Amino acid sequence: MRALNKKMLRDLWRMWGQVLAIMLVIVVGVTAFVMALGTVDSLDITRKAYYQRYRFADIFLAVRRAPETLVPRIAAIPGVQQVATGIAHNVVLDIDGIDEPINGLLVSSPEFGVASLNNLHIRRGRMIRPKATDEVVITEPFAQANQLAPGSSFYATLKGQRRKLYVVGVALSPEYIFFGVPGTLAPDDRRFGVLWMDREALSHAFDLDGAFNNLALTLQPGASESAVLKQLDRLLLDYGGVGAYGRSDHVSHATLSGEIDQLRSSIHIVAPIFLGVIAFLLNMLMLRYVETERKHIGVFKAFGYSNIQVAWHYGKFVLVIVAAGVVTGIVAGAWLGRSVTEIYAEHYHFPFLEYTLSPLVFAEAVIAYGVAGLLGAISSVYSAAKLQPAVAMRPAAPPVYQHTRIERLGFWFALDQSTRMMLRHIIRWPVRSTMTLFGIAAAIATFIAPFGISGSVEQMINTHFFQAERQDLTVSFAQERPRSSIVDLIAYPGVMQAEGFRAVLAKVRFGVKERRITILGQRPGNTLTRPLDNTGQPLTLPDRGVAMSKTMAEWLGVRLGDYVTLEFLQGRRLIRTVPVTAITASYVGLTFFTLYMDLDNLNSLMTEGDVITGVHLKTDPTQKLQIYKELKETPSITGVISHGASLSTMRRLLGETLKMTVINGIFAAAIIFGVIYNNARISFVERYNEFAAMLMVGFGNSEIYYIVLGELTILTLAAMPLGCIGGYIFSWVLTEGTANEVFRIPLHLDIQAFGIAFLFALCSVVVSSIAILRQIAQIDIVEVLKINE
Amino acid sequence: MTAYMIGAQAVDRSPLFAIRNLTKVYQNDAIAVHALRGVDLDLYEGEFVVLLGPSGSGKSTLLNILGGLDIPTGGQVLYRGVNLGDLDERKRTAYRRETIGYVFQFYNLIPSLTARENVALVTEIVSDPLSPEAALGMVGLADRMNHFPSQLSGGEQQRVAVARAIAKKPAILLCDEPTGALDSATGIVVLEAIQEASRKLNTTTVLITHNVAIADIADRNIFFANGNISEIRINTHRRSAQELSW
Repeated sequence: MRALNKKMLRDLWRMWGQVLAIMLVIVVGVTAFVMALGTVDSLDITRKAYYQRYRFADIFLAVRRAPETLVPRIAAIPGVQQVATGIAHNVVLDIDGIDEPINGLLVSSPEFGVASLNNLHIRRGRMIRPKATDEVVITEPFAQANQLAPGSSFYATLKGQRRKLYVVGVALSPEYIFFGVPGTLAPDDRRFGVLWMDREALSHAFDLDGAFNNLALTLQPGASESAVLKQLDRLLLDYGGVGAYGRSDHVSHATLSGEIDQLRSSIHIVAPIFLGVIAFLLNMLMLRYVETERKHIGVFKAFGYSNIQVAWHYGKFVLVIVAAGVVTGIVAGAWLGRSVTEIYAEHYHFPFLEYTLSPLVFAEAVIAYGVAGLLGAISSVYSAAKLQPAVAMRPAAPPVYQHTRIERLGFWFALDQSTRMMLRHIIRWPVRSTMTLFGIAAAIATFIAPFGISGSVEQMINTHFFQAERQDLTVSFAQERPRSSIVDLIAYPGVMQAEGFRAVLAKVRFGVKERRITILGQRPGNTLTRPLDNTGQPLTLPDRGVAMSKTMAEWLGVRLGDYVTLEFLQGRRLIRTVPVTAITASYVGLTFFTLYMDLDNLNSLMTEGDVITGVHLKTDPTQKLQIYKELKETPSITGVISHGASLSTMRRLLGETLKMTVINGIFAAAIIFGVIYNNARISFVERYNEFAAMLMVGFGNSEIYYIVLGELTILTLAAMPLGCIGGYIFSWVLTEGTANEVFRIPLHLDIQAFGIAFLFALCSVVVSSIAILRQIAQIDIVEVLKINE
Repeated sequence: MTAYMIGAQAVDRSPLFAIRNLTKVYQNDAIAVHALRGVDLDLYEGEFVVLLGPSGSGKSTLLNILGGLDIPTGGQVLYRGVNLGDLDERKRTAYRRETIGYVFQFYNLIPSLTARENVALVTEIVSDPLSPEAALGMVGLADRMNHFPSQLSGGEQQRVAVARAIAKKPAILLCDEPTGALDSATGIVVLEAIQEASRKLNTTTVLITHNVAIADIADRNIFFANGNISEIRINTHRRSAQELSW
């Protein structure tokens, strides 16, 4: 091996602590990168394969009732490949040992033996026997959450008839990977499940013989989705079609896509942080290394090593660190990727997993970290190459200190010599001081950012459950009922307050923009549920026009007072033009796509009489069981949402977010500490001789400690405002970057987060400076003086 | 053609270095430091020259310019007819690599490399070098080759530095106060090594010292003051290093 390479390896070994620390950051970064990208790619591919093998449909449509004879006409629509009709109905389930009513979606099972759509993958048990009237197959997450298995049974009320149903199989379906009760914030496997039943049995139960209320179809390759949607809507208008929609509006698909996209975008947010940290740490390491190598560089050049050879020598040093980190990271990432993907596949209940890891991912890691390494090392390697041999041979000239502008200020004369040294040193190395300042600021920002996410979720929960929706239960009916039915519910024992509402599917149009939304009609005086205005205060609904979320208004380009077109997708499918008379708060995805209206106004626009589709209830907690029992036995009720249960689901979600905050916090804390300690260390080593001289003339360790600590404190204080601004921006990027249409929460960053970051940064300063204190005690004055001779 | 006395013999040949009106100014912010103020000097092949003079008189600056480490501000330094000031970076590196051997006051060994590896650092990049073993043998350190600098005494470290300088069989050996950090006995051993090597390899040697006692081992003593040559003395009775004492 060449002598220079031996030197490099021995130098790496000598500095093993720092080298290893940086290498570990690279390993962690690359591992996470490879693992996450591998996972995301695999999930994407698995999902595609799942959809394909189980024939997930392209277009979906719910109707009130349409005859089977319509099928040939649907199939004849240009672009349609295959049509599958079915029956779907919401039911309330009564499961032994569970007090609350459970919501179920009863779906006709895909036809047996025929090439059907949205096929089932049976995990356990078997398919339903043809014509069996009491057999169901249930979704796996629901089965797991409620400990149901083939052989279990429960009750369901089908069209007023209480029936005992037996579970014969547990299955997965591409159509119901994620699915929750409409109107809830997050899917809840315990309180909502999909049940498949024999088609004939279902059609008898719901009076749908020779008819269907649910339609799915696939498109021919290259067919225009929007054209088919339009024709389909026209064809099924008279049968109560509520508007056909494609995969992008399919809840399960959209949620799953959202999650995968979220994962992918979080990689692209986290990766640059790692890269920045690596570049920064390498920069610190190399600046110091090259500085201590001055004389050697002079020797190399004096003996005829060229600038390029010298640059290559130091470049190789960085390269070895980066390469070792990247290779280890790639191996670890590839190894861990499979297990992580398996965990995700399990979480999504994919029936199989197609794991893939593209070499492109490796290439990306190599290039990204190569560039980060280069950026980190370039300035010091360049200065090594450019160092004139004659200059390098001499000990570095004393840095040129000058009287600075701040010295002209009056207070300067009041400062002691130590403080002057501290201030001049910061000003003397503006680039390094600025770099450190930015480093600390970036670390503080990284520390603050995750608080933004948990803070936002917390804020969203508070707003939703304690300001906007304060009911205990929301009950929905199978179909519109007269408003007077509220009275029936109030009569139930334990019901303290009841407020009716009407939910209608519609399309809102403004100019060329159009979107499917839900219109919620309720009384302006409601106190249980009420929309909030932009300041978070309850909003009294205007008696005319609609109230629209800020996000929706911005998306449509609507201003207060503008007229929008509403196309009702239910009832008589009327088209109405109404003014936007209020703007509501958008605090969660769900609220973006809900338009509020005075119930009277809505009913008069729809001309179908004074009706409601559901009721919000405030109940006496001591009489919960009786209310549940009553609700389970009321035939007209097809859905019951317990808000306490939704809240605990959301709290669980928040808990997961908090876990992430803690992990991120540890990582950010390591960065803050690393940056501050590194800076303290370099500043100390650089001024070792200066400090030795101070000790010699009679200064004490504490005065030197004061200089080190003071300098760090000044830089940290200066970095704080920048770090806070950075943290806010970073939080915003995190919440916006990972947002999708289904899940989006506006940023809420508590002032506390800044305080915690500030305290932590100061603690890092103290701990770093204590580490330096030990080194101050070990300064060998005699040795320093000998060298200076 | 210049007639000149080297030792007791009169020779008649062209100089290895022809230095004409050489100036060097260091510009440091607002202050200009004139390190050399129009030096004229010829150096001959195989000659042993000692430069003497107070600190800041320009000795080291001249040495650095001869060694291709520094560039003159004005005047000429012709090495075998080529002006060093005209060389670009690449050519100057090649000149240093193939022509110059350097010995520094503070040894400047690479602490992470053994004696042999320190020498190999140089032999690896030049054509036709001595082997590191041979070079170390020449300075009497054949048995210490695998020691790291920290395991060697100051004198031994400096002899490794001499071995490193001569291993490439340089045409010119430049020594900047090679004994400055050593006691007299150790210093004499190092001077012996330099003298021996330059004799065996017929190297032109330029040595800077503050120690007038060392001047006796040279063919010529050149005295510097104030950025210029104040006096040149020809040494008619060259002494070997062993005969010195201080």
